[in-house]
Amino acid sequence: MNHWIKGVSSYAADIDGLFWLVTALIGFWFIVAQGIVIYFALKYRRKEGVKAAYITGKTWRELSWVFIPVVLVVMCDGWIDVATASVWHNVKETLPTADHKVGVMGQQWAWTFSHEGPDGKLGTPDDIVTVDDLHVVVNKVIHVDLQSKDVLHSFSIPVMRFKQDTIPGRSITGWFKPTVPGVYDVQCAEICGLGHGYMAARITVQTQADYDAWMKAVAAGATALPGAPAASPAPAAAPATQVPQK
Amino acid sequence: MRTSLPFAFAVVATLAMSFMSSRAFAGDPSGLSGKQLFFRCVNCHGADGQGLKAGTLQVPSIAGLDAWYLEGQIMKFRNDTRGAHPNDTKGLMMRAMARSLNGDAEVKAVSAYIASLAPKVEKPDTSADIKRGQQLYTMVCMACHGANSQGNPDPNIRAPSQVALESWYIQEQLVKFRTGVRGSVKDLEGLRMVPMVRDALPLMAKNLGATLEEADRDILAYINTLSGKP
Repeated sequence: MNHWIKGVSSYAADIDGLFWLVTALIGFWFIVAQGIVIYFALKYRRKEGVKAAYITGKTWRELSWVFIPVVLVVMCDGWIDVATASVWHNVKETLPTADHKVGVMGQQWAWTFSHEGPDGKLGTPDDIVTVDDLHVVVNKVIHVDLQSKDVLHSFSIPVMRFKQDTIPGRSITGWFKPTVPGVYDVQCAEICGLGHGYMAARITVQTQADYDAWMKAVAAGATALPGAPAASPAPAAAPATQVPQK
Repeated sequence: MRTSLPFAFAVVATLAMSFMSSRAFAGDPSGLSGKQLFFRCVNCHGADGQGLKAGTLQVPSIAGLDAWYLEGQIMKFRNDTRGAHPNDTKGLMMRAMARSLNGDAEVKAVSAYIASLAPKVEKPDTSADIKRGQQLYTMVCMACHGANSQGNPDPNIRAPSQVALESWYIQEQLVKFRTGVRGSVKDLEGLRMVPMVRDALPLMAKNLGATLEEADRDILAYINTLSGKP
């Protein structure tokens, strides 16, 4: 999976493992089923002087062609269920202690991120609010508080293997722990209106020192200096600002 | 042979679509006319660009605005000069839609088409003090927007005509300028608006014995008496 989409969170490999398990099992049965269909189609094709048999499916020998595959497929389903349960428990039902908290607000058609300011608390006047530009520290557990201003959105960071709907009127907490510094894509994964396809953002995973420097620069207003006009296509992230909180 | 024809067609069609979409992602202009591009504006701004109200979302009329102004504003939305403030709900929507245009040529084409549409005509608010509105307009707005609100495309000014803009929309923008939602440090024209509407206008209004709300209403009513012509 890493070959196509990098996995840079603590649980990315677990989710990729599930993906490959499901793909392998389905792939196996797909090949077996198609092989049998093709084999039978060739073996029992129309022949001169041979009349087609009318199969009623009443004998145990005939019924075994149904029941044996069903039992095997259900066993595979059980295998997937057992493997999924532990990953689901670790990713969705367990909430490790947060090192940092980020507020995520989905709205048509942008993501607004509230980062803890110098006081280290979210929801205070020194929070750093950005549009489409999320910054996190590598190897730290990040709690995201997901909300929506208008309609359903889905906050998706493919490289983190993180995806969670945001629902108007609800506050949903999710978590991830980034493991590799870099700049990655964020997207909305729930059709949310005309501009859904343009509801993209960036996440910057950086070292603590780089994060501190970024926060200091934003607090000083450095990133809000006039920039050169963007060439087409326009960049995704807006400059960071500090705005009063509700 | 009969069965291979549809298969061949499917392969050719898939390759053609892949090629076309790869060119689109590469930022190649689509070659669509301004009228065709305007199709993506219609859902919010209406078929004739006259704006609409859908539920709580009120969308302004854009028909008949100057092409240079429209082009400038769309570019601002595209490069985060406008509509990038976390509290600018409508601006953030427009920012996304502005980015759906594929390059500067499309921005220019759709702007020219919108400019060619018949502007919305709004009658002055008769409950307002239009004379006071004229005084305030002369003191605060006229230097940039012109005596008849004809606008000024000079690169050092770039102030639009306000005549084709709806009063509620201008009022909304005044509030955004006053509260810092519009007029970021990248937005040179917007930055000029901030002290005018946040500082100068309240002062002038006070001198004329009006509240800020009354001053806004009076100015907007006066603008609707203007021709928008030089």
